[in-house]
Amino acid sequence: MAIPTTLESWRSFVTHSPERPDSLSAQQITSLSTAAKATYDDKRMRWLSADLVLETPDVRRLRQLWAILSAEAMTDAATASRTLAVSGAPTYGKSTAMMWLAKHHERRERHRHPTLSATEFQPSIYVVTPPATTPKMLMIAFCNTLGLPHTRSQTAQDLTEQVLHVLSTLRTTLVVLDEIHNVHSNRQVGAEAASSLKLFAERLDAAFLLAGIDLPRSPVFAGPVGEQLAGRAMHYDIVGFGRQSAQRRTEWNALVATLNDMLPLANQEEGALQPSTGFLFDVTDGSIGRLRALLRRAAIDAIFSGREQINKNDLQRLASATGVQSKNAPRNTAPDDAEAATA
Amino acid sequence: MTDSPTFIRPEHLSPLPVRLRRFAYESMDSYIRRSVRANGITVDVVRQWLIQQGALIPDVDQDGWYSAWYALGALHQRRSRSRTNVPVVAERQLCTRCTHGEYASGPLAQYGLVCLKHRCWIDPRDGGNVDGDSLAAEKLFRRELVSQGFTLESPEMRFTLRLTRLAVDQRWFDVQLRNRGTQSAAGALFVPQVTLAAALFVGDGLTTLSGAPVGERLLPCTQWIAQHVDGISSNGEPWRAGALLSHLILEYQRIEVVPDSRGGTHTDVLQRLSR
Repeated sequence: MAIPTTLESWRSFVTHSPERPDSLSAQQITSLSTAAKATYDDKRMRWLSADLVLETPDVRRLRQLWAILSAEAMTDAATASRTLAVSGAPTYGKSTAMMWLAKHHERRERHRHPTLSATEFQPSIYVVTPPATTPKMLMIAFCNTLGLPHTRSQTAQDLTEQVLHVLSTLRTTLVVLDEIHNVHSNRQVGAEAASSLKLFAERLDAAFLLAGIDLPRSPVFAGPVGEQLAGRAMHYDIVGFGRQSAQRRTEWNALVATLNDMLPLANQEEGALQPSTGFLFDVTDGSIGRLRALLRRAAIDAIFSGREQINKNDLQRLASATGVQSKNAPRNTAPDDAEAATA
Repeated sequence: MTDSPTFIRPEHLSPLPVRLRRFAYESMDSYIRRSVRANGITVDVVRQWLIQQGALIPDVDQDGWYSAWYALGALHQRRSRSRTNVPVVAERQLCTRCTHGEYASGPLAQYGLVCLKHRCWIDPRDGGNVDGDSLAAEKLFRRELVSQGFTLESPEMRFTLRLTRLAVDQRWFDVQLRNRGTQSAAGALFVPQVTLAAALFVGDGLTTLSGAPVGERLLPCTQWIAQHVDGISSNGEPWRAGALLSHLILEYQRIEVVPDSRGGTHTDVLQRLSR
């Protein structure tokens, strides 16, 4: 599913629950008619592409921070901290985690207010910050997401008032701003954008989730205004997985095992990817996004070829062919012990 | 949605974030006014935006404007509720109880002065809850006049109300105002007898002496009524009302029309009201 950039697509995202396809054996798949096989494969592709959030240590910690933020947002204090800034390198799952938190928030709020229709109540909204954003560009991004008409002659202030009016009317209590590193507080225009964002956040009775790349060192929290923004936010850095310690290796291995079990392949056995955990870490640099992309492509390849399973050779081939490979990954990785015995 | 013209077809526009329900009988203009207010924008902003999107041709495209609003409000196209032969329909405020306190307006061709659902005056300036006479008048109005395509704004109804105001005893009129808790003359006069008097003018109860339908022969009468309604002063000149009524009766006699036996003659009706 594409990033939801409109209210309608966001609502579809919130209500959508990925459906896991039935687990069929190789024999059962072979006996399917052409049309039935095509339908089954389509379901498997959708499952592989589904935005599923796995219970990783980062997700657990983000959930805890979100619970704290939600509780704080219920206080009457005008200056209560209601911002959570989530930072991390690309493909480390920031956007996925943020969208999941917002989806969870919206579902919970809608459950709490069953009498309010879908169109008169919008608990959460997801907006992508445009590159080199100005105050007006930021508000236009909100208008475009909401589907709110606006004209070229309107000022940033006009647009801000419009957006605030609509979000207040729709009782929005969570705003997710992705790619927030596009705000450059250390430059004139960026500082204005950061300032307008700060004022916007103060005027709206909602919590803000800011997601971006390497936020502690990015321009968004630089300069006087950026520092004010930073000072009012809780921060969390998604550092990805590692293998420096036994615990970290266990976490990575558990992630690989979970993803292996989720693969809708008839011949993929439980734990089949465990021998390749080292290789997978090397090629993906501990990035959950790269790992999922690599496994997804390998699974699709296995479905098209009819093999219905993936092994290290497949992963190696696809890692170098599709650019998933980390730039730091060694070109010839030594085989893991178990893989060497079965290759 | 970008600023560059992409020539979006109006029906492909996304709905506005705050989506309102359109009330029964509410005009599109009234709905548009409420919708822009709810979304914190103005009609001009929407119009300019539609032009920039290429979804509206400036100064030309009134149909396109409404088509766009059906999309912006996610509305279903409605069949027209008004009859095709309705001559005059003014836009009036909808019953505020039906609209949950919101101000909305529309062409209430099917209604008189009373909301039968909430048993109140449609226009709150006319008063609050209504009495039995008003309810009966409304039912009679809808049955005898609306069913034939006549509205509250039609010359026949306006003439009847105006004529009745002139003909009735002032004390009767004051009692009506007081007892019915209304501020408007139309509200005070909205009794079944007046509705019946109006029905007498519109023709279904009228036949020629030979028993043939009045049909087109009544047309000159209604044109005459329309011509003379505005000529009647509203500050109470009974002699003018009487003179006009005489003219009307003569006119009916000229085209060989007699009134329906249910209500008696026009003079009979108005004489009863003035007692």
